[in-house]
Amino acid sequence: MADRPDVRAESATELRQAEIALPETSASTDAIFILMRRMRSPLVVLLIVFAVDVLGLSLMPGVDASGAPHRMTIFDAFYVMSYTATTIGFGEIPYEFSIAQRMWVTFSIYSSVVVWAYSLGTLFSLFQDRGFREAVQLQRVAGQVRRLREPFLIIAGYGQMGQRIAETLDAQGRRVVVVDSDDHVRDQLAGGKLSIDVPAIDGDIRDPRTLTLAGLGHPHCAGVLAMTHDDSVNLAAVMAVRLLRPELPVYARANDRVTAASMHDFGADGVINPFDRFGEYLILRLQRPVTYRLVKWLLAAYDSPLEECRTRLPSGRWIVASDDHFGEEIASDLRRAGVVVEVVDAQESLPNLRDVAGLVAGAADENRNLALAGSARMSHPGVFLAVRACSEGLGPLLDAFSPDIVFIPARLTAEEALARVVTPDFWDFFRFAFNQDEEWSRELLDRLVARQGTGSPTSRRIVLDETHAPGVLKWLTRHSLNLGDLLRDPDDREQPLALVPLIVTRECADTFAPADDFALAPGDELVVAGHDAAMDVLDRTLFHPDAVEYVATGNVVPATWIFRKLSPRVQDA
Amino acid sequence: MNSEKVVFGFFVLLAATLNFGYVTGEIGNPLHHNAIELYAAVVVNLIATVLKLGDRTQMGAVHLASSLVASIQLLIAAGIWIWETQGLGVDPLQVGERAMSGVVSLALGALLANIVSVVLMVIETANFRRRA
Repeated sequence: MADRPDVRAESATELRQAEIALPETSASTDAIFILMRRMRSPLVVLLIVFAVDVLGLSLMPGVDASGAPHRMTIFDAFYVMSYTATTIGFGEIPYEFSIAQRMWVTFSIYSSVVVWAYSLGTLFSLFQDRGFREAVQLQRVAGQVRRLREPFLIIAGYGQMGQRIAETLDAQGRRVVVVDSDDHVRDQLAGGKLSIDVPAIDGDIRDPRTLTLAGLGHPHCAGVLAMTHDDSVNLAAVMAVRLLRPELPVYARANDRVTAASMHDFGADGVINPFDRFGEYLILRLQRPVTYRLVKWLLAAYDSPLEECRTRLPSGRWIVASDDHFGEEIASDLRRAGVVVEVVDAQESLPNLRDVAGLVAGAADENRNLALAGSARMSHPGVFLAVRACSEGLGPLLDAFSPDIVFIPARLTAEEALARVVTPDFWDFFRFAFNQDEEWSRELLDRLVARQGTGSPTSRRIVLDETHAPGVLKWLTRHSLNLGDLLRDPDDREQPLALVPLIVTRECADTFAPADDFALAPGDELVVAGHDAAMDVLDRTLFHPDAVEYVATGNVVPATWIFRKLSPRVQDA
Repeated sequence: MNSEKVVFGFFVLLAATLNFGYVTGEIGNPLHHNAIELYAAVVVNLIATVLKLGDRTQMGAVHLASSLVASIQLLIAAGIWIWETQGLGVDPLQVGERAMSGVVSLALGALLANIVSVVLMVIETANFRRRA
């Protein structure tokens, strides 16, 4: 974490030689110009016909009530034509019409009604027009994005991964803007489970203007997630962000190593190659199952159950059945970990599994994988099974089959992206935990489960400063405060809150999984994991000096001014 | 030759000429100003305004603005005329000097905007020649 901003700044200055304004989109004025252009000729025809009708009517000879010759003025004629043409029809005013006037009005009715119908028809067909409606829609969404007044993330690609990420962020009350080239995205969003209206833009993500429209230039934009299935699109998004808004973090999915390397060259803050990541998880599972269990749980969506403890360590030969580059990737990862691997074609039946320790069913077709794993389990029940699935669709079947490890690229990518986005500090902790030994992981896992149960925790970053923790800061000026005391329940200090500290950062130095007797200092930054409700209770301690005093010492302090004045003990202090 | 340009030029010029024709004469004398001509000026100005809708260029924007000014001024002039002759029931040829000069001075203002339109059109045409 400490060195990342420097690296980013460096790559940004090298890549970006000139500072340019973000590309403009003309969408804001598109709709109204289309409307005006298309309405030009109907309006001109309407004006001409109307003008002729009015002029003609005013020239027709008529008589007034006493029988004297009388002609309508232009205004009278305009008035009569206005209500006649719009089919309102008030009758013959100011005087009963002469035959000449009636003849002219007859002609006028037909001509003006026809042009009215023509004008209105053009207008309505314009409203039905696809191009016009898209322009209006785009304009509406652009306005929605412009009006956002809180930090938001841009999610490029609303497939399985984007959807999952959007739903999780939405559940946490974060704002997102979705971009996808598929025009069904809006329908999906409308039918989705999101609680806040999410601006959705359909457009080509490779076009920087689309990203600008999605709010890349917005001061509240907090980052971009390139989560499409297409590597080149993701790379384009990374490059656009790094060249146009280098200060924004960008996270991208890459399916192969070449794209991942290009993204790293462009200084992407996080590149998630699901095949690569799965290889690491698989090896972690084989070598340090408890650590694997801990990190998977930390990564899972909030309140997911803890997987049951499986410490079986298979040893022996592995078989990887695959029909695309996934097989080779996993095989090379396993070989690096010192495992003997044989790669076979997933479309053929499995070889003899007599001395085989594990099978990776890694075909592109998920049903084929389940079939392979099934036949392996039937013939050799002890074989370690890793199954690759493409979507959540097979979920219930996989739950029932319960292989040792399941790989769903979309889910893994979404989880990893979220871990990086939600609290960047949490990701640092995650990387640290990934490399810890079994003893450390078991200790932390036990501590987490004892404090906050088996539902996976959420995490939050707390800064001990004047804005976020005035109560604690006031207390720290005269007294000391332990981390363990801070995390006590302000209603009953014998009860700890369902929170476990993960990191304390002091002057850029991180302490991971600090103990309860860690002494806090003003300016410390904490990352705590635990129960959602406990986070809210903690706020009380952070803000109210009396709550801090209670959790630190056990003294019940009057909270109101008058009782504080009356309490002799406090007066002495 | 572009027929759209012909129509456009025709209406812009006609708006200016009709407007000019109406305001010519002694400003307060109703005998010198024909109501039908005012009517024609209003109609042609409205058509010219509609023709200028939807042009995205800077020139187009100024064109539209000048036409809108002319149309609004002429409409107000027509409104005063209608009020004077029908609302107050004054005979069109007996309209007082004060009311008549009010109508004509508004139309004169519109003429200025119409002249700007014509000048713009000439500039546009001249630039077009140079580029071609």
